[in-house]
Amino acid sequence: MYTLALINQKGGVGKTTSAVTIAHGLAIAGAQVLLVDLDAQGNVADVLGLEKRGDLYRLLFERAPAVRSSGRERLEVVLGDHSSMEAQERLVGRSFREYVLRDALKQYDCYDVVVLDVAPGVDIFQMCALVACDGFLVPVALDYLAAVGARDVLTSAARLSQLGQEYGTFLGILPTFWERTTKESAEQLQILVEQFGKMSWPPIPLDVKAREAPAYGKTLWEYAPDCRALCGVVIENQRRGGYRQVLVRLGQEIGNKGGR
Amino acid sequence: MAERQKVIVDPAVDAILRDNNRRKQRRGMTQEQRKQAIRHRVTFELDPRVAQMIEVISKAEECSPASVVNLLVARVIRQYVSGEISFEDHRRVSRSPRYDWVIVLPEDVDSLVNELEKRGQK
Repeated sequence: MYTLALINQKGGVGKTTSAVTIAHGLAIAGAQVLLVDLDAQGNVADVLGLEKRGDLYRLLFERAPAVRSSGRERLEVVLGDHSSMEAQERLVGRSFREYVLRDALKQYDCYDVVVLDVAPGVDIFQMCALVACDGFLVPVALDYLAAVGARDVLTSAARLSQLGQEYGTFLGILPTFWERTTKESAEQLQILVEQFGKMSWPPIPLDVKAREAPAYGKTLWEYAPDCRALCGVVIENQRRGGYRQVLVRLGQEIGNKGGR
Repeated sequence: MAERQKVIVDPAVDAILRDNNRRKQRRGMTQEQRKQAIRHRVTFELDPRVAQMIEVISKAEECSPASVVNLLVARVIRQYVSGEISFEDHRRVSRSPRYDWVIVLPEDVDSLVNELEKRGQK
């Protein structure tokens, strides 16, 4: 089992879209995937066209069946809703709270990949996700504030390290909302590459289809399988960027490092 | 002075950065330089069926219509130079004071359009 987390303290950078698209993409490619929504907004349910549920609370505290079908082959989900906030409140003051998620997920080693969609902001679930994951990706919208959020995630990881806690490997930065034609997008990508080098993953093009798909309760693979956000754009006679390339690189990372 | 070490990046990201640089250079051009850069741009009227075929091919090959025209015309000009293609069967008398002949397309051009579109749909 390999556990992947998508984390950025800044909101609106494409964490949920990336988590759902990567999880469904891996499932389509043949992997058994579990997608866990750690966000009290419960947007994973919206994106998949499901009703919000308090599965996460049940997973962490009641040890009751928390996994449900997403209605897609090989993709199962642990959904979140307002009860995820209560879960956080219950965790405050508890010792070893960073390990709660990791311990709860141990029973699900039948999955090839577990994808964690982490809420924005600095909260206990972010720490839990960092400890529970084998690797984490930081989606960064190509604007200045999102890049600052990326540095904050790495600071949180460094803090865990100082406390002597094990946490997942930093896989890289996933640039999102990339616009080929704007100067701002080009400059931010250049800055990310200068700061993170090979850790900057191929960017995800800004695509109106990615905004439309959740309104129909469909993933991008179902709503627009040929869209730019999935397939990238043609540069120098080849398609560059998009989630398909992300899946290829993720496959290499999982193959190289493996799960715990 | 030692040369600055090149940052190692993902090949796809590298291609995107090169593309960004090309775009940046174009943005920095003066009006005169821009005019010079588009001096090779020409306008010809095409038969709608030929234009349609170029669109279909450019979609299938995932490249611009201009590159389709460039490649195909260059290949066909080679055949013309070597005598494989002749205009004789396609000449009709022109009423234009400027040109002696009008060149008509081969009769099978309609079936060619259909064939290309079918291939594109597969």
